[in-house]
Amino acid sequence: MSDNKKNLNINKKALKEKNKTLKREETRLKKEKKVLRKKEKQKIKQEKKLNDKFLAKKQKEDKFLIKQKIKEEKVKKAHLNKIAQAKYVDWFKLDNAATIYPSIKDDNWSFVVRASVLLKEQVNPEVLQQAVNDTMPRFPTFNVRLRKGIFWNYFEINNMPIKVEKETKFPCSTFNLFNFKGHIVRVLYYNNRISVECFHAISDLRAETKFFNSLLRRYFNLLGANIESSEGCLEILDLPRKEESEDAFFKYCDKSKKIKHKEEKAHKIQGTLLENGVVNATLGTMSTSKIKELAKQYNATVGEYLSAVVGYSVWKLNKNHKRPIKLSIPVDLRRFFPSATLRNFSGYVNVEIKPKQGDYTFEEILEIIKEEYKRINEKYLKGFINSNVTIQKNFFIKIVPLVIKNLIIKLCFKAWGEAYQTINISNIGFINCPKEFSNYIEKYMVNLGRPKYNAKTIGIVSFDDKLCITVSSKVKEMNLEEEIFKFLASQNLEVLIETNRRDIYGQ
Amino acid sequence: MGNKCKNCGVIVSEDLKYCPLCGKFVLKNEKDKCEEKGNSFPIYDMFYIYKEKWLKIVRAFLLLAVVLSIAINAFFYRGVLWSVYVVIGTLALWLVVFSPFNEGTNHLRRIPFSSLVIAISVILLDFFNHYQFNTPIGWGVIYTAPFVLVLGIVLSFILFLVLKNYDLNYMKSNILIMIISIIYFILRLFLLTNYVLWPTFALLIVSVTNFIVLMILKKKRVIEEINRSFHI
Repeated sequence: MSDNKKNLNINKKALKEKNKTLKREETRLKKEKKVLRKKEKQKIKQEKKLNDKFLAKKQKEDKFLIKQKIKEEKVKKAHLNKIAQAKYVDWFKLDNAATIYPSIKDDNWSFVVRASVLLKEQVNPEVLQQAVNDTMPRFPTFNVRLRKGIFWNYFEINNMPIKVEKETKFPCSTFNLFNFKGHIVRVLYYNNRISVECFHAISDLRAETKFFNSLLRRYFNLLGANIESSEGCLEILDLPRKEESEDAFFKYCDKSKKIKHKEEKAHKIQGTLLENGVVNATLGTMSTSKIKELAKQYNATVGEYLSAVVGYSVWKLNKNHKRPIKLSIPVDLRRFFPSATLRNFSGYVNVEIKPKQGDYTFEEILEIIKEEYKRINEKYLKGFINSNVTIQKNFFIKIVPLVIKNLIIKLCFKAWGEAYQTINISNIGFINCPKEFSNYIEKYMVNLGRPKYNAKTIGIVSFDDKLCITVSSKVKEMNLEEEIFKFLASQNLEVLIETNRRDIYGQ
Repeated sequence: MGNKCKNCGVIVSEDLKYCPLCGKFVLKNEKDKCEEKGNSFPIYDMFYIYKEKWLKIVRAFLLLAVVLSIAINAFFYRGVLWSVYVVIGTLALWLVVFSPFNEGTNHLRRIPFSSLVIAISVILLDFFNHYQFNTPIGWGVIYTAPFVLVLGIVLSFILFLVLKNYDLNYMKSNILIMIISIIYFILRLFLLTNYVLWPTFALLIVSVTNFIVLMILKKKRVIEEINRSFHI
């Protein structure tokens, strides 16, 4: 019994000790937990403190940045307002080349030129609108409405904002020229494409691209890009300069020799007319470097080579006609006579191919074109300027009322205007713009729209390694386009073809 | 990137079914569909093309009505030249109603011009009635023409006060109406002296007052406008 009791006592003691140790451990664990909790709380507190500090810092930084941006925007806006209010001109006369364009317009045709870009991303219309609002005051010669005077038309500064529109009409559709609200520039967007169309009386394609580049630069900057280079653009914060609105034709005319045209009328491409206002635009895109290589093989420039391709294609389709085929090639006069003008300052040269004289090879046509290009020099162009300006300077012509002038100009344009051209080839060449543009822009395009009496016009422009040829046609037949692009494809060039008539070819 | 056209050797954009150059089907399968891409052009709204067409049809119809009425009047002449009314009426209708649509301008902005057209038409009709039926000159030359012009001036003045930037067209045409009303008054002083002069005088007063008010309110703008309009 006593052994049993002893054993029980021992067990009790052991249990007690176990309980004690358990209690100790429990208290230790509790203590540890408390410490851990404390540590966690401290950690959380510290983290909170750090976070708060970080957030506060960030908020401060953000606030500072926002304040800075607001300040910058305010300064910019104030500057733009200054430009808008500068009123350095209220109105100005049409330049020498522009005088004919309002007179030859009709109900559904006016001479409109278009420059477009295809972006890598979809266009943001709100940002584009902001960019247009910011850019327009810098370009007073584009910010105008056309008005009728007693003797001449004139431009008046139009302070109404230009509304960016979604493209719904055919390229280069006509403007209501004397519409009261009317700007004669429109900015359009569709998917990834931004286009600027302007009435030719305002400026030529070269100046239009300068305006367009400035608009694009502002657009990209508003989207967050940092394009500092202003190559091929104008800085929108600068005040407009007087030289930019000068009539350079008058600046460079003198009493030296004029050129006299005694030309044979040109052959006209025939076809089934599309409805008034409708234009079929076919775009061919290819590699600039490969075209350069091809042109090099013939010792020619890209412009000469492409003109020869067009000339050869037109000749192939019109071999049996008596009248000469004439390619009208515009020349940027700024290359020969330095001028900062943003208005019209271009001449042209007509290249003649005579089907009467038998068959031609491509090389022969290229030689003819190379010879004609040699004719383009300062002396020839001076003669061109002089002969144009003398007519406008004549006092008796000046005092003829506008109504009569319009009638005479219309008749003259019908008789001589496009009568000496078969097709117009406008080659802008390599576009001069900030290098950063290549991060955002896929390609440039130019379009001369529906011609008045001719069947087709061609616009060529190159950007990065993409050269884009746009053939605009007012006839249904596409054989010239087929001939041109087939020829280029046969030279091992990869030619991508697009068209504005998705309603016909895409559905 | 696109589908190759076996006929032309070019690559046709992905959003097209047919090669735009030769019309060849370029998709691999008949059931394949092409979709709108970033480089696609819109499918154009043809309404504005048809609007131009309808205006042309209206113009042609009016011209045909004029030619037909002259021809019928000439062939079946019974002592009355009624076709003159058709010609004057049609011309006025075109200039007042259809021409603004054609030029894309606002009818309100053409009120002074429209009143001038109506006044001239009324004067012509009055003289023609006198010549043809020997009716006394009166309702047109003496009353209606001056009242129409006064109405034109008053309406355009109200619009000038109410609408923003209305002055652009208002000024030029009202200066023209003032010059015409002075000539009209002088002519009336020496011709048709048997008839009442007060409507023509009222026109003169209204148009001159209108010009004076214009000069007081916008002297600089009026002078500028004249300078611009007459520049050679």
